[in-house]
Amino acid sequence: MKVLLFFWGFLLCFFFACTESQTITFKTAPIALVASGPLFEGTNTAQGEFSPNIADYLKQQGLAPSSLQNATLQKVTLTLPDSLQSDLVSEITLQLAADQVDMQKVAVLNPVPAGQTQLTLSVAQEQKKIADLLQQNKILLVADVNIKKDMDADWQATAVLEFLLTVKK
Amino acid sequence: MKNLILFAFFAFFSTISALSAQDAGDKLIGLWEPSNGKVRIKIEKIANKYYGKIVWLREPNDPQTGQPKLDKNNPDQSMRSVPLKGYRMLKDFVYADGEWNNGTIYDPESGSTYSGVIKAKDDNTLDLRGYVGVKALGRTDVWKRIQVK
Repeated sequence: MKVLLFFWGFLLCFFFACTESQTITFKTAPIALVASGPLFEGTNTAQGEFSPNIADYLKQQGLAPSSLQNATLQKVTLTLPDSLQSDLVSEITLQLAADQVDMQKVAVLNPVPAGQTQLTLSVAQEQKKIADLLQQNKILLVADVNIKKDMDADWQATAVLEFLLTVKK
Repeated sequence: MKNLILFAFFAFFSTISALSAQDAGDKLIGLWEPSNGKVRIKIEKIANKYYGKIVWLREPNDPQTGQPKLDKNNPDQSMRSVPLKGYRMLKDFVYADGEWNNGTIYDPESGSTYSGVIKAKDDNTLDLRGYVGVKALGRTDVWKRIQVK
């Protein structure tokens, strides 16, 4: 019996040793978000897209593309061309989607502080399939922007997303 | 040569039928009102899927706070500051075989998300069915198109 327990214990240790994981950060390049004007008071949609190329990123880190186990979005930063763009907006909600992954709400900023050009959004605690999303060729960013008054010009921002990846060593 | 002509013929009609299927799906795009008349939903198309967001509320403000209503029943507490005006309550609907399916419907009054299927009765009327698991056990609501002048 003792031998059997020892054997199972050894197997478990071996299993955990083999699946030891680490976390690394993956930060996107700035992604352009545009809602084409004219825009009307109320909710408007700004869109952008990016290719995460996560396999290449993992290779650069000396990791196999298949080593990705889990991913969570940690931080979302929006940069506006000028502070007028934030003065015109009351709230921003950001969603991510891809062809094979359903859209999910990942971050919100309510209210948008006036006079700012750098905005940090609150990230959702509950996130689903972010690792699957990062393995898609193209990810769509959809920002719902609540605009305080009509504007003729486009509303623009650049988004930088930071993900925490859990990878097999 | 004969094969080439046949191939071109087939490719042409495949493209035409794919495009007309897309056009048929686009009749969902527009402004709609559910039977309770509490909200109006703007349905738009993003990357071949259809999404609907709340653009008008009969009672836009929370009577308790006097501030714009928020998604206070969201099961994810971190998302309860999302305003209901602009909320995407229909997500990821795909048009196939005369209906829009594979999408979800969010009910802000309960914070629940349901699987959904949408059928057009005519150009201005939709049957929108929400269900959990089994389609037969769901509930159907009739939505009317709001004509924008």
